[in-house]
Amino acid sequence: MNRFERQIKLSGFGKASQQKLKEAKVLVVGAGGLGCPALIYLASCGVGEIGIADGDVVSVSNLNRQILFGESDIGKLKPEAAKEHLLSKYSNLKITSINEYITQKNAIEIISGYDIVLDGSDNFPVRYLVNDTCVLLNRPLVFGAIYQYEGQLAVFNVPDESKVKTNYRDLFPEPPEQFEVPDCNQTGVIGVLPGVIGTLQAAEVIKLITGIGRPHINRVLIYDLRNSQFYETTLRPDMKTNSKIPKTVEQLKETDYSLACNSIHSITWSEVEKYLGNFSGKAILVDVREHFEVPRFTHYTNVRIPLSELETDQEYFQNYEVIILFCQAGIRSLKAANIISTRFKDKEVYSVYGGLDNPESPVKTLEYAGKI
Amino acid sequence: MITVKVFGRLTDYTIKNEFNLTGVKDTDQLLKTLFNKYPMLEGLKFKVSVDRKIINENTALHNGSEVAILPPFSGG
Repeated sequence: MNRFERQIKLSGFGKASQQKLKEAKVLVVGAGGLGCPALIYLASCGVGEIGIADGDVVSVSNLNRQILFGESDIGKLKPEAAKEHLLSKYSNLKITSINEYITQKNAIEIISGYDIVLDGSDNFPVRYLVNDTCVLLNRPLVFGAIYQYEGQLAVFNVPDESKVKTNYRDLFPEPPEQFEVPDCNQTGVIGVLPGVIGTLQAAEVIKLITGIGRPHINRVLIYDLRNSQFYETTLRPDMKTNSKIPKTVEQLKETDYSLACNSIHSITWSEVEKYLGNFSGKAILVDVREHFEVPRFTHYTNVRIPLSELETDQEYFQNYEVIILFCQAGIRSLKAANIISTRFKDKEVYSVYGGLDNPESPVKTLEYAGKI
Repeated sequence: MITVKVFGRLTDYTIKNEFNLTGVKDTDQLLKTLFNKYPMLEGLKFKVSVDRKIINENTALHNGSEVAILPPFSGG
């Protein structure tokens, strides 16, 4: 007897399906609200090799939904913490922790090592990048995403009986503009919602691997937790969207997915340092978080002008040529950059990618080094 | 009569997540009516589904048609 006995005896499943699971390699992008429940079921059912890609660390606000983690994991890298918990449950797992975000530079290398990708990421740039990479590499993509009380599910890049396949761009050809994306500090989520969607994603992965049932191909499912309704609709290829997907590995590596989202230039923390040095006195670093938000950022000289006051407090920028904006996660700073660049067309306006939450931010770097 | 279902943050603007419309013969006209009624919807990215099929072009509507307006979600 082994731990898979109850599924092996299931009609239509059997030893053959178990063997297929054992031979499968699944990549979970994002060990968050969707990734955690998905990982638990993928590990428990016997998927042979699981990759977990995430550059984030566990924070206390994750714990209402990221059910692999507990209070003792706060500050740990998510893939490492997830791996540790799963290995403590099942001894014979092969889990690879990939402690970095998927970017256009590493996407091909990471994704090509797996048979199926489960997208549990939490932002549009990564979702489009993962989609395009899966199209390019011809990998099935099990898509899940949530907004407040609602979730979406779809299986992309797998042909149906008529050899027709669709991808995320057939549903939404291009990412929304930044102003359409809610502020990081505005939107909430109830933990069980990604639990439902992440579990549905795991079910689709298992169906794809074993061939049981009818995977959710060329269909989109929307679940509303509030009225417990599932809305289902069918999807077909949209010829106009094909041109938006990079055609070669080289093209993909050169596509700036963060930039494709908006017309504002995003820069990294290391570039911030260069700009502040090169344009000394002419460049200003602005914290657009609200006054109550902590921790205060003191690594470089900066002023705090909250996004909510930006419309009325613009005269301040007159004296500068380069304006660099940051916030906690890099979303409000983009909105702020839009506002400022509309008003001051001759100035260089930048938003710091990922904000203070970016693992490369001076705050995070110090955290990793154990200095905070 | 056409039934319109609205999802995600688009309900911030329409307030209701389901309502009925009359006198619209196709999806272009339906969108025009919606943009007049809820100007904030214009310019937002969403997909339209008619009778449970995602559409990529203007599509005729009939009495009893069900239209869904689906925005992208990014959360995880």
